[in-house]
Amino acid sequence: MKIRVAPDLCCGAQRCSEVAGDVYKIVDGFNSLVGATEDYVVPQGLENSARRGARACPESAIKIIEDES
Amino acid sequence: MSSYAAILRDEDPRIAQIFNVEAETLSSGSTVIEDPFPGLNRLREAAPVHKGTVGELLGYPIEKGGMFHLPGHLTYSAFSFDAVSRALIENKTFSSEGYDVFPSNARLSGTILHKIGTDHRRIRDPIQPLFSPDAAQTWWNDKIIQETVEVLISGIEGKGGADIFVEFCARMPVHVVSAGFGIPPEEIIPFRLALIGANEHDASPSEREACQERSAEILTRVIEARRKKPENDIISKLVEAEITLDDDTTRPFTNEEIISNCRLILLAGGGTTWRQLGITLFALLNNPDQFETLKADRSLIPNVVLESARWHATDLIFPRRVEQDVTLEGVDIPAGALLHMCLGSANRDPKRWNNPDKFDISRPVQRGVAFGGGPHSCLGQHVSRQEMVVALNAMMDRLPNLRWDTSKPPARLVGGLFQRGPSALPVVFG
Repeated sequence: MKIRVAPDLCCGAQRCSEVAGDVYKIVDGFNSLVGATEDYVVPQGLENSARRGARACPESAIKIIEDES
Repeated sequence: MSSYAAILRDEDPRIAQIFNVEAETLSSGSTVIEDPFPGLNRLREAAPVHKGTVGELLGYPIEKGGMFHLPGHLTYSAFSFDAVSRALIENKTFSSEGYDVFPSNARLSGTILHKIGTDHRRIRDPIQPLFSPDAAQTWWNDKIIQETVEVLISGIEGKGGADIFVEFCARMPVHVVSAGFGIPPEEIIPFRLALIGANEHDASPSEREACQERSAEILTRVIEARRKKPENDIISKLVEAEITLDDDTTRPFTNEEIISNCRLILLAGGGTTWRQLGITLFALLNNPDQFETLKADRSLIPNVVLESARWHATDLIFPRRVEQDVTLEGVDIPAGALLHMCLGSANRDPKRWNNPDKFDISRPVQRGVAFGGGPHSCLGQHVSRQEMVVALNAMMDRLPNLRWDTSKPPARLVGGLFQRGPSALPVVFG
């Protein structure tokens, strides 16, 4: 599973890190993946946490890219 | 045709009375001002943060108080993008509980607007999904926005000319949000009048209280009906929603919580989008070359909506209360002071945007603060943006060669520092 954060949507609500701090970090008020040049690979076992954080985002700025099976 | 569409076909003289930017500004206790941006630019160039309210610093007479102005209370104002963005994001230091100090806002106390931290999250989390981008583009769009725009544009397209600010912009959002929530069609305008009346600056306390009770009555009837038999509307969803408490147990919203938050969301939803859509059309009509570019490439519409909000958001200021001594962009602010966050100035910060005073739909989109930011980022912004996208598409499809009616007095952008919009939008087409 990978994560992509749309840089123009992240508004610094910080809900992702509040509900899923094991996946999402905040830097200078915004999701640390804002501006990342590559998709973030979610460590195994944290998939549900990643989804929970994405759902909590008021801007739907976090895109979850599921592995193809 | 739904009963909501039917009521929208009738002309309603109350619309022009309710939706009048200058009258609205005066009734909120503010002074009507023309272009505030030269003054805001001067202030931001002098310093990112100043001591004083935005109105005082601009030199406007605020004899009646004005929105978010508390005479005698130490107030600072933030003008740069960085200062405003930080204040929006650090909500525990720059607290939304500051709204409680304004008598004009006391009636919205207990809502998501005023809460911070866990208390805020607990209430906002169950509401958030009902206003997500996906909900806006599917549920809201399919259930009510498309139908509302179709009925309104059908009523205008054969006329050759209209004041589309009153006949379209004013009618669309109040109808969309009211229908979405499940306010009965015949109650939409009485409910709006009650919401506005409860905040009327010059009304007596008993008059305001009567309005407050009237809006509670209308909402209570809907809530009780939906508790018995849910429908496909927002109040039904709120009745079914669960709040998660500290110990991870859940409980439903109380009637009081639903009523207070419905008042807030419906007041804002029916009040901001009509002015912002008006500002967007004002800017396009004044820039016919850009309007033509847009007609040739409809994929630019979402950008146009954001550019209009950047260029001139209807609400230029929002307040916070500083909870602990803090240094904001080099300026020391003591605990207890109020802070005016000037979104209008931040959105024209030349450190972030080139030639920021120009309305320019070709500008690369980057995050602005027109819809705020941080935990209190505008709840309804995606619904609002979808309304504007559908409305602009319909106008380009159905009102060909849309242009100013030069036989009428030129439209101006008016209002206070809050609730700004056009004086009118007299247009001809065809």
